[in-house]
Amino acid sequence: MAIVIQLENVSKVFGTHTAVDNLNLQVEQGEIYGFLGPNGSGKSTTLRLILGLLTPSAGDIHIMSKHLLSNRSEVMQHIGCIIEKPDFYNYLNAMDNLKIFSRMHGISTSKYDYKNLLQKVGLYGREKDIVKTYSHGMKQRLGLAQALLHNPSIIILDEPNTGLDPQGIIELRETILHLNQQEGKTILLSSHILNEIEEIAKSMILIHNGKTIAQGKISALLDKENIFVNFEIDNKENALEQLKESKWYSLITAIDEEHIIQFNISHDDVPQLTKWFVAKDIAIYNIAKMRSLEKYFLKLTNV
Amino acid sequence: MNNFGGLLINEFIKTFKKPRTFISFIALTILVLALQYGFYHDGKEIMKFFTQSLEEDFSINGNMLTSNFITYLILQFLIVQMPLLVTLVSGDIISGEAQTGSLRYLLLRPQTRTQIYFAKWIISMFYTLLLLIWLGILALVVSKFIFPNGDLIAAFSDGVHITRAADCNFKFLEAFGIAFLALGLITSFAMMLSAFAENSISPIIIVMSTVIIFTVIGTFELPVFEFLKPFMFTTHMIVWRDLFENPVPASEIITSCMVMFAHIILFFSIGLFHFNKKDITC
Repeated sequence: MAIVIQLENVSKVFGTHTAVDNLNLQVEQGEIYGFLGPNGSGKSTTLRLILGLLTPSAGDIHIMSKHLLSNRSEVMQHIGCIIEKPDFYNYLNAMDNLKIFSRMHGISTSKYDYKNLLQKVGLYGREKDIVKTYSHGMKQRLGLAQALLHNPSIIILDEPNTGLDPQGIIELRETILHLNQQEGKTILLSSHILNEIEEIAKSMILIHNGKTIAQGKISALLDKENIFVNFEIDNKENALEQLKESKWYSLITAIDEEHIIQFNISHDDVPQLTKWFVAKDIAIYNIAKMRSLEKYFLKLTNV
Repeated sequence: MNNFGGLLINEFIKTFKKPRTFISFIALTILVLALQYGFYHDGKEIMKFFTQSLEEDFSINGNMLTSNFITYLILQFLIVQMPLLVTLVSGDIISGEAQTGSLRYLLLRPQTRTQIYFAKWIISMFYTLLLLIWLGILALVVSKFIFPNGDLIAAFSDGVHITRAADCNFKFLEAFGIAFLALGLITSFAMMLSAFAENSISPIIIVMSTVIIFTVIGTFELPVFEFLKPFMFTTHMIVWRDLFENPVPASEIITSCMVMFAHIILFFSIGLFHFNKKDITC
């Protein structure tokens, strides 16, 4: 896979504060990347550096193999984004806002294209409304529309779920998956909602204190880790008695008041432990993996 | 240039679809019409008060309260107000977008920051020109309907100068040309400040404070501040008045115009340099 975004030893210093510290990251073409990090970790600064809104204090940024600072105009034709919250010309209607951005890309967008785009983001029929009257969720949808307007191959979405209702979140997820799977677009998605990232993204970049601390396929990164698994069983007391005699007892991390015992085990241990319960004639009603990305995130960022 | 025409259309739409843009036109209309009504109603009394000292030495026949005189007075009165009205748009053109966050989305496009700054400057200058043309229509054309045509008698520090009615229109045209240069300077100054600021109020306050301070220092004939006068742009902004002197001090007018032009280039360059280097954190 070709690398479409590459940061090499990039730093950004504001006064005495180093927001991004010798950061390296790579984004491969056609992938959905989750871009994670706790508050203040340098996520927004990194995205702004990638978009040319900030100038790096050191290091190089290449987008589609082109140096960003010397080829910015060309590079920006390939990037669509929502950065922070979507802010528009509130005194204009949605259509006028889209036309402004369309003109800047030098593309002639037909009425049919606008209709398709507005339908895709769920704003069709509201395009003549003044943006000032829009809810935050509607502005997010308009933000997505302006990001897709010029048919970019790279889409950067910074907290795109913010302000969306549950239906909107589902629609956005479907749109992102469609853009990636059907149209082959590369997506870099920053979000605090880790289960959302886990559902959409195959790869992730985790940064902390301005440095990359993990990068790669989510499955590969998490497989190396022990996971937390909740077993809902019958007759907990009997099960615990029998577990005391086994190697699994030391791996118990929590026992709830009902029928759930939690284990911290490797991914490969799950079928073995299940077999053990079956062999001991202990009925299993449910096996639930805890949000593994969440645990992984908390572990690496020491939160 | 990379779709610069589209950029100009965008800036035009953004400026002229914003209600704030028309506050200046409304304010200017009210101000000029109020002055004209005031002079129409009480002009003779006011003129009597002003010409008392003149009448000791001169015999004044006829009506001094001509349309040309009113136009001249309106231009005098508005020298402090016009920069405020101009700054409402040019002081907001970048900082206003920084404040609302739309600047972030504007700078994610293929256009260079130089192109964006230049397009905004052109539209700001266009707005300034429109405002000045509107002032011209109100002051010159409307006055001609209300007041009789006649010579312009204007008082200067060295005496009274009379401009024949037939020469007034051309002189006013020249005066509006110089006024455009002066307000272009204010436009460039406000826009430079707008590139530095993150809100629209600061550039407006700074421009107005500077104009007021410079005007006050320039108005008082205090020897201690005399050396400062050539360096204050407000000194040169009122050079249009010299067009109504006899003889016209052409070299002084040209020098002042060149100083104002140099200021425009300086303010434009500083603003552009900063805008290109600016980290967008809004």
